[in-house]
Amino acid sequence: MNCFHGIRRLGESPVNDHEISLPVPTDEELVERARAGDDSALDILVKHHHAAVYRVALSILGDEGAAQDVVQDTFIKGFRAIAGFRGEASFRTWILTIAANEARGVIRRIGRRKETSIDMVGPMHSEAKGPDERVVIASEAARARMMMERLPEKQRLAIAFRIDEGMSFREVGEMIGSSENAARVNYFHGIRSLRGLMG
Amino acid sequence: MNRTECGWIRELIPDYAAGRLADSEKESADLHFKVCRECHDELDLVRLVFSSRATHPEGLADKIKAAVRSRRVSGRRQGWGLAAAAVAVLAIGLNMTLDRTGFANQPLTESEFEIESENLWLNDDGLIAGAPMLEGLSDEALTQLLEELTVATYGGAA
Repeated sequence: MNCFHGIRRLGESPVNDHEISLPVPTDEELVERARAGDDSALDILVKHHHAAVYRVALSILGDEGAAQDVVQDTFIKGFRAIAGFRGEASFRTWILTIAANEARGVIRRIGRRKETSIDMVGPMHSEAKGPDERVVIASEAARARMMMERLPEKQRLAIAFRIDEGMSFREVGEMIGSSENAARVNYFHGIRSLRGLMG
Repeated sequence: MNRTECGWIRELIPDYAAGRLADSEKESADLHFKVCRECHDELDLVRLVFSSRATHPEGLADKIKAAVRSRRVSGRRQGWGLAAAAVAVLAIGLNMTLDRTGFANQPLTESEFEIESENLWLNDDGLIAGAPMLEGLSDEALTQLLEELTVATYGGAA
């Protein structure tokens, strides 16, 4: 399912009433405005995509500080090259691909990926439940994320990009350097292995 | 359970867990989860993974915007610096031409000199463009540089 062309995705709630009353510009419109020198369009593109760019960088690097640096470099490089963005992929896919390449460049320079610690697992985004149940689920969720670290890189990234970012398997394939089918196989093998690891 | 249906539902599970499905697809998936334990277990796992996705640090967007702005400003400055350098090169060339025609021998008025000295290489743009940095040079290097400039300007006739 590819539904990222600037429209708010299902499940994403608006930030405030002001945002509800105004039409949300599409990424295509924002890119056009950015090309014309509109800095406010760049700000909106950053606002829309920085969280996903950060998660992609963190998935590859496993280091929060390095991931933040990669996010900055990604947007700087992306905006510098925005005149050459042809719109064949969505802006989101394009900027996430730049982030993945930047992060891989960092890995090449430093030699290896940092191991993820339990502290780096994000807070729970659970629906309303009792406090005890939330604690149990949060603990299990953190364990699941830790267990992902034991998977081969392509399986781990396929799971992260498909679940966290909602990428299609074609997009996942582009990100991990595989075909769409190979991305699908990596994802489902990863899920099966993860189920085994979780017991 | 129909394996084809399981295959279709399993493709959708990440979008279901993240609340990205349209209502009609969600209803079909709900019906399936009620009768398929295997897919329901997978949904539980995917929900755990999705709920533990990393959150970005507070203020990250502002840091990015500041970094992007800073680079854009310095890029524009660099453009101005290059333009300033081009003007300076043109001015030197023009000066050499005027010198040969005798205009350069006319003394500058005080006000003309002040305007030039205030505007030449005294801002960041000049530094970006490669303004001459003379502070670190030894007397010997300065003398050599002066000789080279004299030769370049007057063809060694001075």
